[in-house]
Amino acid sequence: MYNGSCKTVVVTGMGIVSAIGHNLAEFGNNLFAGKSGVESVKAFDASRFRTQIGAEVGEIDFSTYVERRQLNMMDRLSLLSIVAADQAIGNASLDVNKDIREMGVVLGSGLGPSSSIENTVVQAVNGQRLRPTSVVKILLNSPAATLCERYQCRGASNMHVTACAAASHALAQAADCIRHGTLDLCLAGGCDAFPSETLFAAWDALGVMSAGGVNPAEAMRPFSKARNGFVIGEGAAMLVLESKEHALNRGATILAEFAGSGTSSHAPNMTKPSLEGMTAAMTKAVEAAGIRIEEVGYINAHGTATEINDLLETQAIQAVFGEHSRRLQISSTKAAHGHAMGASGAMEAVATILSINRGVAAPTLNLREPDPACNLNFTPLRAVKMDCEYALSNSFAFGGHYVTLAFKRG
Amino acid sequence: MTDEILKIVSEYLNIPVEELTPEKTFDDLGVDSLDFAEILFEVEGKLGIKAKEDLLELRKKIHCLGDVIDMANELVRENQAEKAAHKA
Repeated sequence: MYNGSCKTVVVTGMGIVSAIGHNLAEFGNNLFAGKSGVESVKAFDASRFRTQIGAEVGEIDFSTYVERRQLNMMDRLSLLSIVAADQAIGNASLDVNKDIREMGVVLGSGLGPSSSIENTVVQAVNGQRLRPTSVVKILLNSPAATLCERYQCRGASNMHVTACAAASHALAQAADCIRHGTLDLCLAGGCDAFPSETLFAAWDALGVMSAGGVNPAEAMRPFSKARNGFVIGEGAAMLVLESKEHALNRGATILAEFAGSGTSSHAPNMTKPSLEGMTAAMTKAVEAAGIRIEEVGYINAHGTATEINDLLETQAIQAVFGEHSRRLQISSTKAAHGHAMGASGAMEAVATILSINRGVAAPTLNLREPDPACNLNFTPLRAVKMDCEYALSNSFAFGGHYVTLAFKRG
Repeated sequence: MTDEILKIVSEYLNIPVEELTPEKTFDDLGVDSLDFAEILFEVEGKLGIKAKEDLLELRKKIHCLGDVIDMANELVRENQAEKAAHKA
């Protein structure tokens, strides 16, 4: 638990670009209305794959965000980050000419600029000349660097690459920096563009993605008896975190309190999730928030709709919350916005904050027939009213990375 | 050729073409080494030519847009002469 000398961390701005909305309002409306962003893959011809569906953001005119000269230097990953970051800074009413000079930037990405890396490799193998800016475009830290350049901010900046937990690690680190006084203000979140064709092929080979069916929107079915894997997505989500004192001094609107986080590591092997890792992350987050388990009312689950994740996550929630687990409202919003890999932790942090502030739990789409072994309240099909002060958001990743974030209603 | 190159630079730097003349230097235009490399890449790609020297050497020799135009004219002429010789 954090001691009394630590600062309270608050969320004062949020921005998001996803398959179910290119801004916060669209995302919120579609999330609670139960709209799915899953369709046939558009980024490339996926007809040779077992899985042919994805949750893509669609077309955005990035030339309205950056100059032509900058487009050559940026992967879609960085461009999506800009879209979400501009929104978050606007949402926080930060003056880019005054307030953000000492702002930090901490991001997460699971896949990195995979399409640009793949294009560069193909060009090199075919003997084509490479653009001089190729290196800038394929740097793994390019999204964080891009935002630091864009806003000319000079606080600490870095990138986390812990696969599907990357954004949550970024948020946890940013909050810790503010809590301990290293930073007063930090833009934190995650980003991932739709995987390159080769990377998609690798995920396809692993067999953890839903093969879909007649209707792509019904493919991902977290916690259901008929679950058969996730749908890969893309997007970016950014949160403006600052000390409560800093926020109040500048008259900012507080959207939520970043109450705490819990991280753990347990890798019995590279891909198999563990009950121990999940349980430890949730327990630590509750402890860090300094609350009783009964005060938690909502959990945005990792909920990947794989056989093992959903079963173990259910058991982990039961292990941590005991009897109270039956009173929790839980949802997996991935069925709507897809599994946006390294961005998902930030997207779901946004979904969590919207849920507790609106007093409505977002639905778990396609949960028509629950798995009897997943016997908690997973908010099937439709949004449900709730009244809770504290919520958790889980992000777990291949490699044994587990992160749980805790938020308090604003 | 002059108009073509000025248009490429105008689009790349987002500067109205009317403001560009062969006398404008890269320093005048605030072009850094990365932009310089990208502009040459664009010119080469669009005109189907390839500079003979590497970027560091070119940076020492090319200071203004007129230098780019002269280099491009020379390379195009050489390309045409090579094609004519090949036909003969």
